[in-house]
Amino acid sequence: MITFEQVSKIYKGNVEALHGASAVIEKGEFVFLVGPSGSGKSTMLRLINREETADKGRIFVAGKDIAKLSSWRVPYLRRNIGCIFQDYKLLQSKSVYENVAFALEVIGRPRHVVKAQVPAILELVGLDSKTNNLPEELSGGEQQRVSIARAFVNRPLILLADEPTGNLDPATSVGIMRLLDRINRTGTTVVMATHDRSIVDTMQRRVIELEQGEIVRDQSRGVYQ
Amino acid sequence: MKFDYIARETVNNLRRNITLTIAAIMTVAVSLALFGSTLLVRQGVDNVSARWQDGIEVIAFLKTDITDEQREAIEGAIDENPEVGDWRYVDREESHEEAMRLFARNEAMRTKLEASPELVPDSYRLSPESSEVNLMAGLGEQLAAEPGVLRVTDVTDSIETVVGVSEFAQRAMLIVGIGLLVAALLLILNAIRMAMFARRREIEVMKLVGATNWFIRVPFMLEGIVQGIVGAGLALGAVFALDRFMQSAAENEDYRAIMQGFVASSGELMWTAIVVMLLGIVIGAAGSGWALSRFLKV
Repeated sequence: MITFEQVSKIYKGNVEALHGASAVIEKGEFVFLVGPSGSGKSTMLRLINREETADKGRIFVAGKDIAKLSSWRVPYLRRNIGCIFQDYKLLQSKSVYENVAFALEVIGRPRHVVKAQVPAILELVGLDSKTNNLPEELSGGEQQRVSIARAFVNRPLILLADEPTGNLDPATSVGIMRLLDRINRTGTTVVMATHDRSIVDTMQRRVIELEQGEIVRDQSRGVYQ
Repeated sequence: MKFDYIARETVNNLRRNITLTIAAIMTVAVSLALFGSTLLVRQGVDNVSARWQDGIEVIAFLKTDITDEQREAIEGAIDENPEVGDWRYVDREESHEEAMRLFARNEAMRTKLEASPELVPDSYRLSPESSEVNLMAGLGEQLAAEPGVLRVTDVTDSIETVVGVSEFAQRAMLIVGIGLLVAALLLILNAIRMAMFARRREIEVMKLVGATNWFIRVPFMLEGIVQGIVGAGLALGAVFALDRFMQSAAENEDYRAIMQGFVASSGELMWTAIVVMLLGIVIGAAGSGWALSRFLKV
């Protein structure tokens, strides 16, 4: 599903965020990216949905070399990739329902599809009783659920999660991880960057560890260390 | 769905920045009003002074029953005169067209001319060797005495004044108009930039979930174009008002001698309106396009 071939990324000022990274992530896998801040986790995620482009090496997503994608095709790549973040990135002026519907509306899905899919996904994430609330009226865990609903409502092949539990207490984090696990079981590939030792150790999934832009460990059913 | 969305977002953007929107629209309106007025006045001046262009100072209109011998005598007299710089013969057809232009909005006169084109005589038009020469005093009087000549007329001071003043006014209006046009462009650029800033989170989410660049851009493009069109619409109001004024001045008996023909034909007015509207659209599209290319990387 995702292949990194000797990928390097150099930011302005000669900061090498990623150096010769290679990894193959199969369809339906659940992968943790671990490592200290600045080790290149977020860069890997941003390369996958082409928010950034690699300076060296090649990246394949769903069989396509994404460097060769013309810029007008990039949005279509992103429709296959859902994203969630530490800060949720919800629109504060829109209700829970509207936040999720927005993701479908702006890619031109017809109204009847929006009306059918939004309530279904809100039920899946357990927010069917809060559809008309604004984000500020929700707890952190609930806001992250809205953002997961928004990322998953279009049934993407891949879900990228950048520190999704970074702002949440351990109990709430467990709930979020259960939800991501459930999404993974539908066949969606999940790649999650995290600092959360206990989550990684409990889940026992594949772990890719980065240090100063290099992959130093790639272990199936690994722990945080 | 898409149309709904685009219309709603465009209106929201315009409302959100209402003060900047109004400033942009007013600037577009004033600049295009000046620009349109310049075009209109220029057409009026061109029409009123058409026969006096290229330094022509004396016109000898000919009788309809002029003979070839009489023509030769006149041309001989002109050729021999050292004070004449340049001259040309204007035939019936050209004179008729000129008269039709001069009476562009005077339907009664146009009908009369259409019915009997011979009312407009052919003529010789002369320009002096140098500006110091008074052609009228010498050659003009000589030509008036020729048997084939109907009447000799010279450029009046009043027409020279109208042309001179209006040329100055046109130039001033054009410079101010262009300056304001640039200001309008920058205001639209800023209005769009503010709208994009206000919606930066939405734009971020749209990019993330895979909205096309086109989909993200269109509401902003439309916002600028709407500002341009509304401004151009207001400017057109001013241009039409000026046209009415020019027409009533041309019909006023007191000013008739000078203002006769100082109108744009309805075709020229339409042309001016189209140019003003197109300029409005171009300014709006250019301002928002510039803002998008600078501040919206997709």
